[in-house]
Amino acid sequence: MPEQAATQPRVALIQFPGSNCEWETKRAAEAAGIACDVFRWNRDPAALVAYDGYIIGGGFSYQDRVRSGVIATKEPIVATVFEQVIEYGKPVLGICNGAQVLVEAGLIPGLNPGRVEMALAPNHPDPRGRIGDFCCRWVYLKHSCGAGRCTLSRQMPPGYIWPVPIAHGEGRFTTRDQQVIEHLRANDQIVFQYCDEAGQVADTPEINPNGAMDNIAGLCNPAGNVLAMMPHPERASFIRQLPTELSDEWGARKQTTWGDNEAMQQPGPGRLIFDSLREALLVSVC
Amino acid sequence: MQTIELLVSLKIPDVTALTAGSAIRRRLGYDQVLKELRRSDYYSLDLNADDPDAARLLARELANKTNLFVNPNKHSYEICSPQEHSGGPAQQDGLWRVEVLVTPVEGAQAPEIEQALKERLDYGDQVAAVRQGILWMMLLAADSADEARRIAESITVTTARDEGLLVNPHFQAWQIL
Repeated sequence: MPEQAATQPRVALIQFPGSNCEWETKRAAEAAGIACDVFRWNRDPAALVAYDGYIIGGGFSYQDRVRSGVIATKEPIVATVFEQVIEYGKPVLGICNGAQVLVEAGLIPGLNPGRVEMALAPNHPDPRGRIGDFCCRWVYLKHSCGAGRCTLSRQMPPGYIWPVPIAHGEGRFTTRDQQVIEHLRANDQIVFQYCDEAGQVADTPEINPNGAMDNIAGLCNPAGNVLAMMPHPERASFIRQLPTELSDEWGARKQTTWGDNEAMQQPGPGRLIFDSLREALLVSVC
Repeated sequence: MQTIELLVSLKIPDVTALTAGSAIRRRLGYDQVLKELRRSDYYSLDLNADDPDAARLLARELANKTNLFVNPNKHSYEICSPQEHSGGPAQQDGLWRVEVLVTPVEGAQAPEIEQALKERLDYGDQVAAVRQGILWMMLLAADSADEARRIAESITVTTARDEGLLVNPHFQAWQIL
């Protein structure tokens, strides 16, 4: 492991065969002041213990065979992450395929840790009747939980609305147990919901791209130290990543940066996730 | 109305089944129990045909000519009736063969295929309904049919990180055929 400044928190970004977002996620984490090592799934899991927290990034672990994320959850490395979360409260950020891993591992929603209480099912049929469409576009999210409820979003004020891209075929948060949804609402575990630019949360294909229950885009565990989210904050962490076509303030900021490479490196809205992660990691270090 | 089943498998090794089998043996503790795991795309066709033989002929035509079910370059297929595998675990070479059908919990209807058959390919009323799923076939070392069924269930249904693999019951339904 490379030498790091004593105060710089360190995360292991777990790479499974088929992960494909590890390097852009590492760059986003490093821009937030986090030392980030890409950690291959077949290394000795005992080496994970030295890290302050974990990121499981996006992609297609094991080619999404059987179900997205499920083969990866059976690996010993996930058992170690589970142990570090439960016993030491270390923070974990799961993005897209990482979110699918966390759900299949029973860390999210984590009402009974280890039990699989939800699914990230194939996207809901769209109005044209096509089933399981892979959906790749920009959406808006509403920060729906209370201030500080989730340590990995605590830099966002309640109600914060931000643009972020999604890219998934199996991203529909769902459960057969209605009590789980009621618990999530009561526990304030619904961190992000799909919304429109004005913050309206409605279950329409335009707003809720995969048909998720309650428009859920991100959930935390009861302790608030594990966040599973289907959208990709690492792809909205720099101004240069934002599409000019956004009609909100972020689109306007992107337009003003044309021709200015330094300005393009300024933080985008997704950076707040990594800033929050850094803050959570510092607490974890202490 | 006749119901015919169409099972479509890869001619080449099925890496999904191989990966699932490996995970079940190496990570879930069934190394000495799961002897083989195979997978097929499963279609159940409700066909307006006069008798079972006519239905089989029509199903074979659908498989061979429509390109909706079978790509002959990579798939093989078999046609059977639901009665042929509705008896639960069956003995095979000293092991127990168990077939598990997995379908979406919201229903197995395949409206795109139905529409293509009825409208684009002019089969009209000959095809009443199409349902689809995944059929897993396991060969298990077990002492009895009941034990084979119990093992198949625990391999199939994911209830915890280290329990079950093939089905997430929050969006998938399953049954032992």
